[in-house]
Amino acid sequence: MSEKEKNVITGFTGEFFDELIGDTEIGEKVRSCIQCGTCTASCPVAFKSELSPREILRMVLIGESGEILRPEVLYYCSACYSCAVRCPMGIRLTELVNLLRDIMVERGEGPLPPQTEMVKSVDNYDNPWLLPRAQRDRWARKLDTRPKVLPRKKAKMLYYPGCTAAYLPNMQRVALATAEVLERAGVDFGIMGREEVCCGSTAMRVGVRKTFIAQVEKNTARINALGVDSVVTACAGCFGIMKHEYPRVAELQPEVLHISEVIARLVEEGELEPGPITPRVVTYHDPCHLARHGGVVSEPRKVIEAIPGLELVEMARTGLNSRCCGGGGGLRTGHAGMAVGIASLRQREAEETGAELLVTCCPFCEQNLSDAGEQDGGLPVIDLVELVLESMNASV
Amino acid sequence: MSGKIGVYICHCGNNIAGTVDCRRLAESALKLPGVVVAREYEYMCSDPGQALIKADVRELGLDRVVVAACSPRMHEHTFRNTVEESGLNPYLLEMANIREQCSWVHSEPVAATAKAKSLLAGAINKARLDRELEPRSFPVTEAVLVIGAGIAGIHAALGIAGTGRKVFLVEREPSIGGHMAQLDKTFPTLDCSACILTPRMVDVAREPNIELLTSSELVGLSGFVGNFKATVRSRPRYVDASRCTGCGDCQDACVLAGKIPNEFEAGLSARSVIYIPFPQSVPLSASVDIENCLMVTRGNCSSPCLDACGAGAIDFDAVETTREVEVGAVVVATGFDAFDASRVPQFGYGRYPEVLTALQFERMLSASGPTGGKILTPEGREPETIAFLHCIGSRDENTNQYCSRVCCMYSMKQAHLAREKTSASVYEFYIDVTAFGKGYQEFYRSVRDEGVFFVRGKCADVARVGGRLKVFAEDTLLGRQVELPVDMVVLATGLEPAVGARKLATTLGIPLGQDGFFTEAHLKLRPVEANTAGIFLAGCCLGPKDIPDTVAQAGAASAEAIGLLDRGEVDVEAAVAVIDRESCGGCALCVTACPLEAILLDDEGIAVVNEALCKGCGTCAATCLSGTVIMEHSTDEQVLANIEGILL
Repeated sequence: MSEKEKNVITGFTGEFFDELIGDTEIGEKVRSCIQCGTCTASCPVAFKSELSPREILRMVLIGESGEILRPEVLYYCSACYSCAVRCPMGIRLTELVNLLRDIMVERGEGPLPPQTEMVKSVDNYDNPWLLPRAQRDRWARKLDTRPKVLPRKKAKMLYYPGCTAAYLPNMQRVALATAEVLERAGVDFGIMGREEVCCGSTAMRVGVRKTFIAQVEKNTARINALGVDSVVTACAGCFGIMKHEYPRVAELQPEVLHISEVIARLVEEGELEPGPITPRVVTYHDPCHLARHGGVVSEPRKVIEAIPGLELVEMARTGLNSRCCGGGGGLRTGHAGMAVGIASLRQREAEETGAELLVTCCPFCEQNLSDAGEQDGGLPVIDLVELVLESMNASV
Repeated sequence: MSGKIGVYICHCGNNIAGTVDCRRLAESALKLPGVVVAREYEYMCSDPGQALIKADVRELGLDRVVVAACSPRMHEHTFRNTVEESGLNPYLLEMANIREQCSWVHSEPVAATAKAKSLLAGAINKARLDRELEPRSFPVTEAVLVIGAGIAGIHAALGIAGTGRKVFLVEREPSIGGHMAQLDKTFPTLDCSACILTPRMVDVAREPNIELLTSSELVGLSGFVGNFKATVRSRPRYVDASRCTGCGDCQDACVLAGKIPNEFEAGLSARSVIYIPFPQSVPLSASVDIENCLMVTRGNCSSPCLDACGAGAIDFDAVETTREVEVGAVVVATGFDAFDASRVPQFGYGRYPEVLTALQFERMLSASGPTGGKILTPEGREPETIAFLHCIGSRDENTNQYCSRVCCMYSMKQAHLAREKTSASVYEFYIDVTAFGKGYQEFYRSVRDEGVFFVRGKCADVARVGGRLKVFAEDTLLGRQVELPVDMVVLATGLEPAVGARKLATTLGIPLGQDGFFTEAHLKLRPVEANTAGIFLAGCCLGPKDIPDTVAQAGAASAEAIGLLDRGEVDVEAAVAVIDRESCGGCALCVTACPLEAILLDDEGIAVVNEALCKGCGTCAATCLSGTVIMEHSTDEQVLANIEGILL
């Protein structure tokens, strides 16, 4: 019987690691892994995956690239960063998985068919939803006061709705509410209209680096030319990517803000006064890409607490320890059923709080948690900005 | 000026000779003016190496010795003694550092040898100008200041006082005892902590040579080895400890009785504002918590404590006092603080009442604790499942990188006691078991044998889901996820530098390491000395450690302090700053520049150096505009000669 047949390790060479991983920003720390299992126990997807995050890391280190560079292994990560924030050795495992996806795709495997379709759509139409560029600004027609379109007109702030809120009919509510809130709070803002392009998150997360870089370059060039001080988005995905991943590729000059940060500041400065709304007990789901990737935890809570009538109760896992809904990292696109199943687990945690409404601020979380609610029961889901608008209407 | 210079080149095994061509180095030195002999040897610091130097001084009549070897920090002292023993003044020795500054940092032999030649030539050039200097000595004050009265400070103080020396024992809290007083049993022998500690505490109270200053802190330290002046500030207790009988009647009378979290019980129970910290307190006297007392903070309270006190010991007119004490040495034993578990919210501390810190669980185990030694859930029943989570606030880049060294052991001790006191299933979630001390592996083995279940995986989080409190982890040995329902969680919280360590470091003028603990002069060879002569360190103020190691260090620190006092006098550096009175303009730049406040202007407005305080750092000489301040052994001429030698 050969050693291979016996499945015996005959060497810990790690050539794959040395050549492709070891010198990268994330790879430098991989050697310090102590195999404590914090990553696996923190992973919302590990129970479904052939190899756990801990095992993937170990195999990377000993150079077992064949075992890991497979879509069946690598597309079981929702890019939630739970492993990354908790790892006692400071290893950003989410980033390692992303790097492995890049290498695998480069070698001709992956992404999964539905993910590939989305990336192609980004390449061809600058959005993942296979919809024409001309329809990107259609949502804004439904507004009473149309926002300024930059760069023809000038403004201090760019509102960047992102593809999901701009295109998907059931998500346009978020874009409309955001624009109306900004307008009524007297913020000097504008939109890019049809010149807006996908942030590239979809491509980056599934390992299609080329498409991602192309989107970053387009976006930075166009946005830098607008002369705005800040870019605000109500999408946690766009926010995390623009704030933390763009700088690794190109310089985006304006400050990147999430809408919750803007509203929290407006409330604090007295520019926006929420009125009393139907009293409700609500709980808040931290989108992974807003909290763990983006670093925004307290602002959405400040906004909820500023709305008279709302009582915020926290779930068992909140803030940086929030549990992922399963919607990110291409999981919802690649393994829709599994993603909704994970969202159901989160819905159970939401129900246990006794709240009647689940608030979040990410179109992906919202869709995934809503689908889970429809499938397995749970709380109705609402975007934070919609609640803010409701309370502004009440204050009039 | 010298006429006969001897040059000695050390191979330091391969440390130097592996990179620097020592034979060539010797040959080049011989060509320099005044050099009459140049030798190389494998280990110049060894007895035969030193003998070479001594023989040459005698037989060839050398008047200068230059040693090319390691850093002078390592062996200048050795070679000064060698030179002195051979009849020359020790300041006629010069060293060239061709190890740390050459062979260890270069790999290319030819270039390294060239650099070594330059360094050596510089030293030889300077040696020609070296002058004889006479070391001076000062008497040592026969008293020691011990800061911190946990087990380390207590042990050190008793050791020093036992030799008849006066000890000032300063403790921030109202009672001595430190953390050890809070512990129930100690690992691995399961001795009752109080039973072994309290006799030592009582010894402190009885020892006539110890002056105990509780509720006190060091606020200033000046002087130098053997001759320190320490300023100690004492907060008022508002209770005269000599009259207080420790009856506790004032505690019951206090209007805020049961309102203030009891720190001794790790917050598991509440106390009054006027309180006796714990039954075995030394001094056994009540004390007023200044921050919470209504009388102290607002001057407005019916003060029922005054009526309750039969001894008339309470006095709200007491004031803060500051006193200066003179000591020859200082022992720092300020210990640690437990890691604050609320900094890692994923483990549920502060959110779920079933989640306790190890110190809280320790108090629960103690017969004198808030539950009378019973392990009880918040509902007051015996838990059926208890999980101990290791490495909370240790071995984690998000908190502290270091291992706290005691948590594995105390956690296993607590698991053992939990099994003894309850019928609960007990789990230890661990990464590695650090059981390195005497009897520790045996203890680990016995705890496993008893049925404590070990899960190899660090807990990821603790959450109440589906109505049950659960511990989430991975059993990394099986590669399977764990969701264990539990009734109680105990966090093995790590050890951190004591609050106030940073401030104390500034007061003492000694450094802290990156981890925030004090640093020893040499990790291996001078483990209980600070870099400042006369200041010694012991116990957890240096880093986490168990009681045996703490006591061993305290013993070592006290022995070092006693040794210093025994010498009776201390030699101080002969290479100090001197003032040329003729040229001094009295600008006082040197006065402000001196980090040790060793220079003052005299009545005539001329700078005067206190030679006892001067450490010879040279800052004053570098600052002086008129060349008035001369730094002995590093005069301008000597420094320039050194540079010239290197450049030529």
